Amino acid sequence: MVKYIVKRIGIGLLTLFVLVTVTFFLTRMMPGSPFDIANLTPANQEKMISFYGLDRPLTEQYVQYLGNLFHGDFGVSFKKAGVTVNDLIASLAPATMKLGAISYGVSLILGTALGIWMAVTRQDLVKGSILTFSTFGVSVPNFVLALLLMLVFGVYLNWFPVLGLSTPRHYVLPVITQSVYPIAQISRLVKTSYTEAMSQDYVVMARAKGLKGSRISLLHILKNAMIPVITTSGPMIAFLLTGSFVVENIFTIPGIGREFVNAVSNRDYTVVMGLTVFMGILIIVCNLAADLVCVLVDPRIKMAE
Amino acid sequence: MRKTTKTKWAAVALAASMVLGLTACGGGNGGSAAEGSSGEAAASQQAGGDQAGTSGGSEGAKELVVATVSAAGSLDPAGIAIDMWTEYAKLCIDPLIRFDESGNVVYEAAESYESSDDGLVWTFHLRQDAKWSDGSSVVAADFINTLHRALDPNNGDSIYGDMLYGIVGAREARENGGSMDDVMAKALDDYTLEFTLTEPCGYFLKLLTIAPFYPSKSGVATLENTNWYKDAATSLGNGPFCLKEFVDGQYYLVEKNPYYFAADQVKLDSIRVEFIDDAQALLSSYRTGEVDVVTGLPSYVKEQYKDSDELFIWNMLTSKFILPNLEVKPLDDVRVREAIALALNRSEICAAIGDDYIASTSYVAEYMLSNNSDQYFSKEEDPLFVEDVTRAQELLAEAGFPGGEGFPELTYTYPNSEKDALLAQGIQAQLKQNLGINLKLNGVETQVYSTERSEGTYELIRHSWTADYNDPINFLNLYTSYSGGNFNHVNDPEYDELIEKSNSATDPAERNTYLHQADRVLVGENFYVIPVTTQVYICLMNPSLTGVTVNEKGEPMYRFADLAE
Repeated sequence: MVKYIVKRIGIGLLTLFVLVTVTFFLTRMMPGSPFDIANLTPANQEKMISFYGLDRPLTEQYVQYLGNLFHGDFGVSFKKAGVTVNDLIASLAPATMKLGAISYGVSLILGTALGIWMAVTRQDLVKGSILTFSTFGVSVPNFVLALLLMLVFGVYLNWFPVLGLSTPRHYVLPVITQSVYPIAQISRLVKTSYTEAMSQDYVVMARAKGLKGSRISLLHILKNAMIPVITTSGPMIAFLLTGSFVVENIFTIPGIGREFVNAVSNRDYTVVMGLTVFMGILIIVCNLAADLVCVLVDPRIKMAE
Repeated sequence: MRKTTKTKWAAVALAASMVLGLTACGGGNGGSAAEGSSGEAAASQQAGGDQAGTSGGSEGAKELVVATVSAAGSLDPAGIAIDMWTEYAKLCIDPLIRFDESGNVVYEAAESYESSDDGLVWTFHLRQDAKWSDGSSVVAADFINTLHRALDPNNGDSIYGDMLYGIVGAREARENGGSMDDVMAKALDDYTLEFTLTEPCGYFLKLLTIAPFYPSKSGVATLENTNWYKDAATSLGNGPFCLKEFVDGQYYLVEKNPYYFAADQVKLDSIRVEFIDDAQALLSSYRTGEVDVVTGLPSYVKEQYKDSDELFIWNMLTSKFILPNLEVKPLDDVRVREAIALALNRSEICAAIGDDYIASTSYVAEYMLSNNSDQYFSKEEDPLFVEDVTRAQELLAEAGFPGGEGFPELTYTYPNSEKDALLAQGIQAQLKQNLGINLKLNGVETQVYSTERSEGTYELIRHSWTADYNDPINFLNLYTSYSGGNFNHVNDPEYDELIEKSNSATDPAERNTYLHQADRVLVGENFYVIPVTTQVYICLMNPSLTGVTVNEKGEPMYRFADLAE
């Protein structure tokens, strides 16, 4: 177990290294510079470029960046004067992660519930409508959903505010936008695995022993039915925690997703790098955690050798 | 161990089944909710209204919420002082002088000024009752503080440093290790500021409206403390408002400056400036009432709100024009450039782009005020040229391409935004239709576009310029042979001479004549640049907002605005 974790962390670090290297050179290969400011004279632009050391050889900049990174220093933003990338991440991450965590919680609970309902119900109407919802959920792009929710529940009905995350009411529309897809995904997974588990021998056996229905469904079926959900949870949590550009942009949420896209189009190299590394770490950790939880739940799953 | 995992799972499953129950209830209500929705919506709206009332501040405090698009840059006048700073400075910082909508001088931190007969020495007398928001006096050293920081060779963020080179010693200080003591921007005493210029500058007062001439508290706003502008304790204001809170990328809040000399005229208690990137989000947050003022809206809003007093049009000092590469054949032929300029039907092009683009045959921004009359500079004299397709066809034939025959396919490069794409397509269609010329469109990312423009690797390129200060020279001096922003290498001694003459002219009327002559050489005679449109910002304002004024750049000012209950 320990050996496995150490190995996975090693692979994770290697992945990060490759990620840093590729991102570093790719961002620098994009044409343009962070200092393409309107009305700035070329002479002054060159002055800024040399002040920030962007005129030095690329390999030298790369080595220096790695050195700083090793000490946990992501550098300073080129576009936001005096702001370090570390501070920037620290200020952006909470909004995105809070929204992501709530969305995941909502998705897990509602998705599981809907999945079980679909599996156990005998009413075709219920089954059909949940199925329709989940098909809708996986197929509607989130920017359409976000705009739709904003216009209907924000502008026309005026039920919820649409700007930022300052009160709990502000969370409602972004959370719904972010959760619809995961809910649909989870409910489909749960439905399939739950139906499958219902016909397993141990369930039949438990029934034959005369155990209570609720005990059977909770203890015997659900536990096994949740394994595929846990496996997909790793990437799903990582996806939710790293933030969605669309959701953050439309609901004006100061988070990682929005800043990342802005940084790319502004050529704010250090911010792009910093956020990439940060998201990379999140994704690696989430995947590792999901794999470990799977083993804890079902000891039959062997660690990969 | 096994036991506890089991119990945990039972708990999770129990929670899940409880939610199952909840959703079942929700589903059951689904049908009736639709029928009862009008009542429910009304109740919720009431609740929403209550909430809006309380969020507006406690006990009648008046807070205006303004949306702004860009969170890039900083609030440091000696740093990256772009859009975010501009908005902030209008609220919190008093420069020496400002200009009103009609171009008249408004004295703010200065009380009076005088200039020497040769136009080289400018002396400003500061208002003695001006105070920073911590109660300290605004002194000449605070103005010098910004100037010195903007000229400091170790300040990599100083974007306007080179616009100060008209001051004796400034260039040496910034570029060649000269001493700050030799920069002839001097505090003669606490309330007297003197500038000595290298050569006469007929537009020096206008130049004073650029960022480095704004004060920043000496000893507090320093290069060493790069975060001073974000902290309310160090980011002081000498204007009607001062910074209270700065949340990077989200908003900043300014509150009334109790020490402001005209504090009795300030009606609002605070102003919150929110950063909103998305156009739909801008409009939605205005409609939900979360924001009182939104600027830079999609053009269809103008049509939707055309009869409403909420609509506010911000006439920008912007000119969008085509830059022909003068080293590329056949664009080196003035007849070809003139043919292109005359063949475009600009109103038709703008109609396809939207209500925020306005046809213009003037290179100097259409809404730039003249220094010599109360008219716009562009309207003072006959237009530089008149659209004329027949004449354009003749010119093209004279240049050896009758009906566009034998004319090479040229590439038109533009930044890949929706509006610029429409503009490009309009130009392409008109040139094809009127001159038989084929244009290849090359839409590229903004950053690629800037690179191509400065490196000169284009044939025709879209250029756009928005004034830093309200004077035609801010447009015209871009195309002197020694200008850094002369991207198509215009090199015309006659033009250079006219610009120099205008700079040394002390009489406004004489200066204005030179500027018009230069404009005619640049556009009307040589078509070194081909003007196409100007732009306006479409804004919406809460109708209960009163007292909004406009400055010389067409920008709304909320300094003395009021929100009716």
